[in-house]
Amino acid sequence: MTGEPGRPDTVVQLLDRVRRGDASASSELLPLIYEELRGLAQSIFRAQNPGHTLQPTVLVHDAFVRLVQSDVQLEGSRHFYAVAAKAMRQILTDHARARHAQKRGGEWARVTISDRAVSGGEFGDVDVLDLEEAMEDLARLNPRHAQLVELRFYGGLTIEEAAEELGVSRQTAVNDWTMARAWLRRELSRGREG
Amino acid sequence: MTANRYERMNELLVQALERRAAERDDFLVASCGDDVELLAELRELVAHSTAEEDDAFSESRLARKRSLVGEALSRGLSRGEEMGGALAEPTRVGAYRVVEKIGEGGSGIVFRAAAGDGADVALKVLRTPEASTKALRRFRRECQILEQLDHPGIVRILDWGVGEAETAVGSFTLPYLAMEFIDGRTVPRWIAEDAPTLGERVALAAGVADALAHAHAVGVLHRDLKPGNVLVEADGRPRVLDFGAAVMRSIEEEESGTRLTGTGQIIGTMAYMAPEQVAGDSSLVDAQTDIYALGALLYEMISGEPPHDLEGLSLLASIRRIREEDPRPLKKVAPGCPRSLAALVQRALARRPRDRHADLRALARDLRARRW
Repeated sequence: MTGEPGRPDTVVQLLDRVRRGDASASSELLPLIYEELRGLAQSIFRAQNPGHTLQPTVLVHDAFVRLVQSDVQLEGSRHFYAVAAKAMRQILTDHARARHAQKRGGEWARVTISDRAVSGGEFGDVDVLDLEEAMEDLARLNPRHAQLVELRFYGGLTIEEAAEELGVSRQTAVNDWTMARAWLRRELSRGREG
Repeated sequence: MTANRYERMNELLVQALERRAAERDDFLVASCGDDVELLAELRELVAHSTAEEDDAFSESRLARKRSLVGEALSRGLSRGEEMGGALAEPTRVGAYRVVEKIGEGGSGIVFRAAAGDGADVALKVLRTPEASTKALRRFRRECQILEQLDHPGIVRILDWGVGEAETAVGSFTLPYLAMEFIDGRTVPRWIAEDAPTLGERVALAAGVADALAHAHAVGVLHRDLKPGNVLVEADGRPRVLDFGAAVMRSIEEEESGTRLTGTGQIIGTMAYMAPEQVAGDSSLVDAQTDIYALGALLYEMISGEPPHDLEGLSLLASIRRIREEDPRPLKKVAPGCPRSLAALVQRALARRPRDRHADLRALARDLRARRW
């Protein structure tokens, strides 16, 4: 509901709104980063297969640094990472579901066993579908804990950023994270045993 | 497991971890009492918290994830800049070729688009591709409800679904809704350009009342009627748009809480909202609320101004004014308005829903009872 009707905000205007703490501007930028996140998700899946190692080169583009992290950087980029976290969760889960369905559909020959678990450095050896199931249970037990895990696990937000995004104190976020992480580790280890 | 038990486990886990490793188990044994299951679970949780697990939840992995996501964000943004700074809009959605953007609202963007056979449609697409399963379920449910509306005064739904949207920065899967393309003007433009007579304005309002009465008969409320949501066709007949906020009364009863998505959106339509609607309790919103909105529409069509002057007021002050004060007397804002018409409009705008007209058919009848 901003800008003139018929004339979308430009990327620069949206980034300015993000920097001023307008969370809705972050999600309007999502189409721009969606393909990139999808590429990232694919590379995470591929990282499993020998010969396709994920290159975790830190190449933070100067445009991003200049536009987002220039002045009140944390406030703005935090929202943006939070949006990315939500998108990553959706993309990874959809992707994993699609692969799962493909395998069950009899096209097993095209999918290697190692595709099942999304391993590859950053995601450890967590099975995305098991995690999604556990996250849905967690959201029933404590929605804030599930949100915290979404921000940290899928978006890589720090404890401090996640605390601000959720509007809680750092100590609360630390306690929440302690419990949520232990609970998920336990759920996921049980899942594998069963 | 229940939320309470999870909460209890959280407290004990945090307290246990604050103690020295050697004291933890004694603390847990003392705290759990007879609940051996709780004790066993907590021991597991303590083990998962203290082991130096280098898994996906470890801080070093999270930090690497952050830099990967950061890279993706920066690549996407710089690509956006290269494209001349404007955000990408779809050139095609499913089977529809996008022609031009014609509007934008809280929930999505509306384009004029061409269907496979070349016919014009108004295509509404959700703004972002992040729709959750829950949001999609709600979208489907709303479309199914809207499909039931069949009235010459209501814009018809032609097709809906989830389609691939092609843009300059890639393709996304987006929910879309294709409606009849109406070659009409919004009420404010119609008034500004044609300067219709009072009789023509009242006749238009009566037509809107007919359309809303049909919707109410099938159980759909509009909830967001305002001058921009009514199009006037070349022959002067109204077409009501954007039943997007509409939900079946039965569903409404099941779910509580306001469905307005953001502060900005509330402010945008506030001037046409009934006192019970700004209360934020959607269980109070019923057919009477649409009667109020129609009264507000008529008030503005007659006087050129909305019933309440909310200019410069904060959200809270606006809510208070709508709830606690009567609208400015219509005769004062529009001295030329016949007394009986002003009384009719004031009645539709009554603060207590039961003081308004019994239903929209009654209101339409009153509007047509004489020549204004």
